[in-house]
Amino acid sequence: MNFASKPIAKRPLALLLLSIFAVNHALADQLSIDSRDFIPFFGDQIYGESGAGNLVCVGGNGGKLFIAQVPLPPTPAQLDIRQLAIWGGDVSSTDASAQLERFCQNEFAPSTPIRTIISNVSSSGSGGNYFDAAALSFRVNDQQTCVYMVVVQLGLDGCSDSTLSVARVRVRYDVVQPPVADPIFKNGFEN
Amino acid sequence: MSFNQQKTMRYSMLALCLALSFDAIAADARVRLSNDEIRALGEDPQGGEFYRLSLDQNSVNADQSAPNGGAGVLYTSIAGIEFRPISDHGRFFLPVHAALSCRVNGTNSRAEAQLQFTQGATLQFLRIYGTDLSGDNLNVALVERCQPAVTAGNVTNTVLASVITSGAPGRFTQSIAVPAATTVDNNLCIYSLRVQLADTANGCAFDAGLALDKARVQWIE
Repeated sequence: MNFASKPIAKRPLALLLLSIFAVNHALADQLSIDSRDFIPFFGDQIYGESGAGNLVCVGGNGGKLFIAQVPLPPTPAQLDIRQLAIWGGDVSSTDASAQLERFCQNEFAPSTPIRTIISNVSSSGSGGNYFDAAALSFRVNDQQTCVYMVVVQLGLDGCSDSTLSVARVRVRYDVVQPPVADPIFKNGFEN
Repeated sequence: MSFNQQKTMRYSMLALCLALSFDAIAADARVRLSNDEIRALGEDPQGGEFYRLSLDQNSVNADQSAPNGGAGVLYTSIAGIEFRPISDHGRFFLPVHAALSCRVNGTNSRAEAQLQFTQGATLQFLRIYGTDLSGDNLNVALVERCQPAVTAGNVTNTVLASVITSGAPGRFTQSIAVPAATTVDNNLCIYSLRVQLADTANGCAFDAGLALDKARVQWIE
């Protein structure tokens, strides 16, 4: 008997595989934003690099905010953001933080971007190298209309000089393939 | 010569003819930029070859009626903040929403951001989002820069599509279609968006009236 013509119901292995793919199929992935990819909010804001190669602000004009776009892969699949993490140095009485944000606009009509804060991580204490991570579950299915950003803040009140730094920010996510609506029906016609 | 060999040869000849004819179409579709147009891009007419594709003005906002968001349609969006000044005379700031705007005393109004596509992708539309409350206008060009694969050579610059605001409509979004069959060649070329936040060749109009929120390229693999 030709395998392709065999009724799907009589192929238990095929049924098992199809049932597995019928539920959401996720592939874990991640990306990191290097400290050098962050740029200051203001064009003439002074910034520099720590001895460890991390991003630091430089006192004088008080700039403490930096921003970078999260280069999520363009994909027709959906993404589930699972974690936001930050590394850096902290020997300050204040903290460094990174905030994951989303800006969305109407696709075809003029509109003011709507900002959504998704998650926040920060240093604590003043023990030197730090790491912080926040688990989250945030579905990204709107890259058609939204961009994702990370805003880094080095200190609460003005620039903290080299006592606070950011090495990198990492975003972990799952690439979620949408389920096949009716795998048996689809398979029956395409195989 | 066997039948299969003859068949293979016929298909090879056909493919060669098609490739040559597509090359000819691509060459004809390009229009050489004038020196003034090159300078308006912030470039030196002696610095390379400069072209643009023939744009169909009827394709303005045509993405609204095109297949949208379905399987295989991809979007690459670049926030304003990802644009870098083309010289250190640029003074930009980010008013809100990760947008790009001019800062006082800025002497250069142009900034650029690189785009990444998969090899062979077909570029479809360029759409921009921003604010224009100024007497000056904001324009964004999708530019392809190509050089020989393994030899030294001038850069051939081609403006694949460009969008310019007009008047002072306030918040706006506008798109233009990239001419059909414009495909990505990552072996020879790089792709970028170039924004100019003012009409003038020098100076950055600082009145918080011109801002680029983001630019989006729609493409298919």
